[in-house]
Amino acid sequence: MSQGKKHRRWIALLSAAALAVVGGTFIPVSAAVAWTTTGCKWNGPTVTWNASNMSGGTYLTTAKAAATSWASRTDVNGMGTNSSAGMYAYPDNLGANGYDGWTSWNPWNCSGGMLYWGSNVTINPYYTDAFSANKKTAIWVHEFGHGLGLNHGPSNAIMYTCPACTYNTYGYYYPVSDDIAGMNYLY
Amino acid sequence: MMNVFKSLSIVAIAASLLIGAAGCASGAANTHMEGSRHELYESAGQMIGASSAVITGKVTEQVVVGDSSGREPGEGSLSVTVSTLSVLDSYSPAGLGEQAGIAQTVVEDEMSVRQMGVYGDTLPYPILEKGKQYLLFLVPTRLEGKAANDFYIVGGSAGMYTVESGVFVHVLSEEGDTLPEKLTSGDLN
Repeated sequence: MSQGKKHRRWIALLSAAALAVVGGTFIPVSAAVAWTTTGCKWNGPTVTWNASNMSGGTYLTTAKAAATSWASRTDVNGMGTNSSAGMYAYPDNLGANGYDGWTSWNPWNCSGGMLYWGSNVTINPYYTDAFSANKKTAIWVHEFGHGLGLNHGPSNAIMYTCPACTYNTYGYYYPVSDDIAGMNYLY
Repeated sequence: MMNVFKSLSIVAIAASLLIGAAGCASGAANTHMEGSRHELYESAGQMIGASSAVITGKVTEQVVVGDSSGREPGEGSLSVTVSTLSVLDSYSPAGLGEQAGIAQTVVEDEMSVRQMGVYGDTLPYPILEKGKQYLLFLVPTRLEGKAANDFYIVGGSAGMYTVESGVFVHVLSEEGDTLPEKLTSGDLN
């Protein structure tokens, strides 16, 4: 390969990398994976969450199972409850809004990179009251995935836009290979 | 060789400026939201079956309210935009509400539509814009109190079309629905 070609390739790679970062959402180059990120993450792999808006019952046990499944299958550590944690998880009846779960987050950056300072990880009982414990867990896993920094993934991943569809098709209620690869990229 | 270094420098400077701009833009106080869709739609017919009303309307008024949780901001309260639409037309296509087993809504002159989030947030759908016309597939919120009279757009982004020169154009969405990019009133009668 000529020197000119080598340099043009480097310029192209640098430009592509810059565009990927500027877009806020990192999209891996390899076609074998399809995970995407929110562009934000917690400041380190040890993460806890706040259950103080939950009083117990199936929603708390399934949320704990979901949080633990990220810690046990990926490089994220902890995922236990902590009353001072900035990531709240709780059921929130939003009615027939078309979403089984919903996560919001606020990035805090310009001073320390793209970091979360808080997020709300919720599940919508209007739909999920009728779900089995495993299907509830699937929704929690997806929402915790957002809360940790993953955005949507392919249809055979728990981070698919419709995790209930993934559960119905594949029976997944835990992170699978594409989700794990994405989370391990982040942490 | 000089040209190569010059090119690399330009790319590096441009990247730095863009990264800085992106970082500061994201550093604004806007909230980001994503959700788990309950259902994805493969056709307009399927979406019609999940809707209690299909209307065209113009957004005349918007207010931002807290969600129904009663929580404080930072402890789980989400902001909601409620848009009032002046109804221009309504449609009763075959199969309306049948898939969801819901009664057809009696369409009035004005209808209130709730959307999670506010203008400026990063959301899986656009917030309705005041003064613009839309074709909307709607369903009752099933919430209590005042919100019980409001409607949600079916599937968040799925049931939202803009009105452009008499044609209904679907809003951009990456949520996984496979819906027609364009509809006409003839498709809804």
